[in-house]
Amino acid sequence: MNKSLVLLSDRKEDQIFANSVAAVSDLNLVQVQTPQEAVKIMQDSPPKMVLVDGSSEALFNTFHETVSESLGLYSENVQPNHIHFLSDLPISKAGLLVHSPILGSFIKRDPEQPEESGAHYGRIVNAAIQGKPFGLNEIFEGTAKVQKIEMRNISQKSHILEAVKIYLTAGKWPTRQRSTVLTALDELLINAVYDAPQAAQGSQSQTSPTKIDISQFEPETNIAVTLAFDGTFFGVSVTDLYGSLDKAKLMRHIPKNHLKTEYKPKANTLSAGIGLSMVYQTGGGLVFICEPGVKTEALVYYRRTDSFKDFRNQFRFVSTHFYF
Amino acid sequence: MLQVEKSQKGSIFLFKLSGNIEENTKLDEALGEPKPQMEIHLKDISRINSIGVKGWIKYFQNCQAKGTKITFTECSTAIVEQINLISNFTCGGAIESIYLPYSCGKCRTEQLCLLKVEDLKKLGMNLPTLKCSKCTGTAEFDDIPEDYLAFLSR
Ligand SMILES: [Zn+2]
Repeated sequence: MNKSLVLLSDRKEDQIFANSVAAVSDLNLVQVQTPQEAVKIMQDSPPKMVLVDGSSEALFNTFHETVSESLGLYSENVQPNHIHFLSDLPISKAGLLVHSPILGSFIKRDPEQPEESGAHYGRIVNAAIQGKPFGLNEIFEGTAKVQKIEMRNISQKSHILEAVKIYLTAGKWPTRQRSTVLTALDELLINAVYDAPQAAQGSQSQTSPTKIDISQFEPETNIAVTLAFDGTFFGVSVTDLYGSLDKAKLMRHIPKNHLKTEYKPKANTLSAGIGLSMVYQTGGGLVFICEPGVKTEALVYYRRTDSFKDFRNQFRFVSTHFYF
Repeated sequence: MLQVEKSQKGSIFLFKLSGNIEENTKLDEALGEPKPQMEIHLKDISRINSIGVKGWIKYFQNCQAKGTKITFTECSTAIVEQINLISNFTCGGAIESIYLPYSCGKCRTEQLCLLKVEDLKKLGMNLPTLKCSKCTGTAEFDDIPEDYLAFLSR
């Protein structure tokens, strides 16, 4: 695989972003003008990263059609883990792009701070291009102390949240930023405890959530919570041993918006089906790393800011990585 | 863990909620059968997770179906966030007042400011500044007004 970052965009801020990503992840930036040029490189030797301007449906469609016609959407040379789309639109309005099988990552463009965002995103790319499953540990390697907490039963969830709250309070995190981080962790835990085992079983259980014990699903199963803070960025991840993440389902859930259509709770599911969209809408980056049948690590990544306004406005993305 | 303080003012049943609303919260047990008039005080709700939202909607939809007149007062920032994320979060109930988050530009002390919804509507997006409670600085509204007050224009 060639060590290039192929950029298909003529926007100045994308070039700055890509330059920054390339510098952090030690890739060579190659800027192309047409989808055909990008696809030609993918055909000859798939690059470590393809970064495409997906701001409009027309731009996305042209790239998608070229890939489909020249390589085939499911060809070996088309690796979603390495395909990243930049968009001006929020994920709930990004349309077809989000549901494309070739999408690996959705990046909400940050025109105000493309260099800083690129450096931040570059750490994920750097961990991802090593070609093997990675996690919070690899993203923060050498920059922060990484702590791990094991969770063996749902009753431990409140203790874990309390421990993280104490950690953030000791670090003088402002109240609302702290609550946002805690709610995000809570949702990742809910996902790992309620959704992952059911997805692995292929059906939804009817049992009351309070009676669920993860040992019911798999006696050996445990969940690991990992935390890291480097002074600017705080990351928290939840790893389950089911590896049952479904990208299509994930990409249907995250963009959900209940402002235009009312939220109707389903009676036959344990979880609410809105947790991940809540996490995404409250800011930050989401990364999912899945080895099907082995494990899924879901992580959120926040920049600590002086004001909550900046916290809410921070750079955000959804990045998925599957290792079959 | 959710705690509830109950009282009655004439025909209105008052419920003062505090803590977190999550998967173990049973609103039907905590608040009981829907009453004709209910006032829900939400100042001390610090967090609500997605399963908590699901339970909340189920309970208050049931109240709505039974014709309960619901008023939400002193909504915390966590509740306001949900009101802005989910169009039917209040299930036909009226929002009387909300807390607005403020932060001092000088010492970063956080403060909350309680405002009635009818006063907020008059102010539009021109939110007042406050005197910092800790120093001589000025505290400003610390969120995106168009997002935090989005529910006012729905
Ligand atoms: Zn001050």
